[in-house]
Amino acid sequence: MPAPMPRAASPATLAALAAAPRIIAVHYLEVGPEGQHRDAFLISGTPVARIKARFLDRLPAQLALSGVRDVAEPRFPYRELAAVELEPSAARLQRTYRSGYVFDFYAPWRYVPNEGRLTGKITVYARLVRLEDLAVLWARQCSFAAEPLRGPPVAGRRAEEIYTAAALERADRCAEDLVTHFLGGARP
Amino acid sequence: MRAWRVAALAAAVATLTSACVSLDTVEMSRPAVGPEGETQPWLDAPRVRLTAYARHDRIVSSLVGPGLIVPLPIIPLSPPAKDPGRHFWIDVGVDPEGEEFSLDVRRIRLHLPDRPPLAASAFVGPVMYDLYRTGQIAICHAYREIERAPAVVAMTELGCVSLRFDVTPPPTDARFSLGVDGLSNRGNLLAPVLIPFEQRRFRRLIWAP
Repeated sequence: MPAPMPRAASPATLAALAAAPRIIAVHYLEVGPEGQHRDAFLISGTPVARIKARFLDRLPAQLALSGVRDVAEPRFPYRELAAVELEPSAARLQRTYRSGYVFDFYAPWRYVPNEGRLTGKITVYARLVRLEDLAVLWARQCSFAAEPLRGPPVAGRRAEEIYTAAALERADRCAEDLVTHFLGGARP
Repeated sequence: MRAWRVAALAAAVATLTSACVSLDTVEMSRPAVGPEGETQPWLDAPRVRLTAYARHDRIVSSLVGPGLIVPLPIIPLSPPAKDPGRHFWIDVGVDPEGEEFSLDVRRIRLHLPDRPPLAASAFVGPVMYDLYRTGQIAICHAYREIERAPAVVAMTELGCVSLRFDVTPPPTDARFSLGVDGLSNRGNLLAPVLIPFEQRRFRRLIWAP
């Protein structure tokens, strides 16, 4: 997991973002490979694309950012082979986008038995990475309760088919917590 | 009496913690490029790396035995007979720089001895490349994905396509190659990359409870 940062994004980071010609937002695949676990599948358990969208909806208005590119297709969450942490490799982002800043949104995969439950709180991790030197300028996590579910979290289903409206509201608040932290406590 | 109890306890612990090990000798084909010891060799092309994995590896010999602390695979076991099947699957890993690569699967050709070049009949992907080789038998994380007719696919990051050729898999000592044509960057077609395969043999130790 990315180490949570105690502070909001620094003024220098906010200024750099406001002047940046290229800001990209990505999220990672929510349903993972099944491998040998034939009676279960891997799922991140989070409507992470929705949380990313909610975060972006609120963020540019505060920072007067323009032109944040929201990449619709999820990325594969590759990790560095030697990495102790579980967050996706920032170097992979650099190989794809080369320069600029990337917000990425990630929830660890976990095994869920077929038509299983998503017990406990679901956590999503967000980072801001500067691609030139792979510096993580900001990182934060938020959590929300996913259950009760509307339907089983199977591959190919949209978040709205899996989560109840109440759970999605909690996920939205999770995204707003990220924005609040990023901006240093000011509610968006 | 005390010694007897210690021995009984040791036997119980040994029984509970014992495991079996299997030492398999596996034959496979791998791209005949790169250093000898490289696990999965990659070929470089302009702004992209390529690799491939032919899914026709087979166990040629196997030894099994106890695996308590020190593995002792000493009992020979006949490897199960395996029907080679009618389809030859080859995984292709693509690691592009940038996000504007695409791969036209229709242009890829399998070159087998004494046969005309063969196009893929179906494929799955792009799927996640198995960076850590957890799948063991492939490089593509493609298990339940739906096969589809060959088409152009976007390769926006490290990914993998698994190609189905309608031919009986050749033996691992056959000389064959995969002609990867159809890679484009920003719409510009790259020169075809020929991936020759050669036989490799390796041993793997598998623990089982």
